[in-house]
Amino acid sequence: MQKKNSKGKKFFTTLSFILIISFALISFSQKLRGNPTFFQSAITTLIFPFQTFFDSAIQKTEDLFDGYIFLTNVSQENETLKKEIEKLQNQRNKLIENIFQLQREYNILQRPMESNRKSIMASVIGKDSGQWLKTVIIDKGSEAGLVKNSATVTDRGIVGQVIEANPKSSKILLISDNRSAIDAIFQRSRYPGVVFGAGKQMCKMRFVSMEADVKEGDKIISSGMGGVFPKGLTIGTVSKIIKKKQGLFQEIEVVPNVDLSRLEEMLVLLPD
Amino acid sequence: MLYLVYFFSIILVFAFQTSALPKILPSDTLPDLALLCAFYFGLKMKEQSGVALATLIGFFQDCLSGGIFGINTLSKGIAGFLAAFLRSFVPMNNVFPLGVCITIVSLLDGIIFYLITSLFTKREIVQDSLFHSLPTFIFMNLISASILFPIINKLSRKFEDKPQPTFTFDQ
Repeated sequence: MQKKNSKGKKFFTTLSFILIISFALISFSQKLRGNPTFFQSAITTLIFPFQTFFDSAIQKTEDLFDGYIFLTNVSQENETLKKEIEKLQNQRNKLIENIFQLQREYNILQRPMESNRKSIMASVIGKDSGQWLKTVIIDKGSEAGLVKNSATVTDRGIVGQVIEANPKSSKILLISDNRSAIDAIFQRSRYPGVVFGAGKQMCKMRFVSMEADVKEGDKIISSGMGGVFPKGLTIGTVSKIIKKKQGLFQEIEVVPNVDLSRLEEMLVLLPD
Repeated sequence: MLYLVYFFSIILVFAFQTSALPKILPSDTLPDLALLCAFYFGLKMKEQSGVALATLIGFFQDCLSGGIFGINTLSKGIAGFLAAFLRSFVPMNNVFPLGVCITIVSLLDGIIFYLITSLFTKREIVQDSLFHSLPTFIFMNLISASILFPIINKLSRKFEDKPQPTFTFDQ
């Protein structure tokens, strides 16, 4: 009986320990308001080489697999020819990949050139370590000039913003994350609203008045308010309009213009 | 030595989770390897050490994640605690009780995220996407656990000083 009681006490103490530590950390983080702590920077820096290792290993495996698939088509050829084809094929794959990458980077670079804003190209090296948040990690950090709240875009539109700039990498909050909010307007009717992240690959536009002229397929662009995103960047397209009988605002479902599940490169717009 | 191996494994698991896993499984819902590690250590190690290591894993995940700091420390700590607590009542030497426990901790992980985020961000969280992805999340975790647990088991047996019994979590 006494043993059972002491075990119960032990469990209670352990649970209290977890709760106290966690809530202390939560309160502490609320006080810091998103500035990276020493531990965050240290652990991100510690993991960075392993992340780049896994990233390049997967890339190489993909290349190898592509090479093998192509090689099976010439299995009738003699050994020398096979080797030659494999070599050329790998070179071709690499060149095609380079062309695609350059094309993507060129397309991305077009937009900021119009506004002459300083920008930097970055590659995605990882996703959020948890399941419930929509953030990605890029390979550029404060050493490359990135600062918190820098906007990130592709040629198709807004991706998100920097929420944490570590020396060699940064965390990007995607527009589909629940914590994301962007002041926006409809490109056609110019009515304002706020685009919030809705998880998965979706956003919702709120605070759009009932009188606003909105149609499915309307483009939504950034309004330039808030100071993070320049005016006129595409956010997404209206996919569904919900008008409740009793309510001040319409609720609008928005599909982001950028395919957030297949991000590879993005442009970070640096502050002026 | 064993703790060093655990530490290194956790670092590798996080690097794998954030970089390779999204490419291998191009799905919107991915398994949470950190949660599984936390659960495993809670189950396998001595009560306090297991829970402490699980909490530390959560702390690591908080450092890497862009969310509210402390949210993973809480959920992973509770996963480790539950594992340590449940093994006193349920024999964890076969697949069924393990599967049920992993389902419970996966559900709790989602619920804790939802509660803490709504409480501290004071913003309405879109529940649909969160709760729709929970079944897939649980399924992914169950599949991943069946791969990850034997790997850690094998690793720990290799580096442990004392000989260990075969795949059983009973202490």
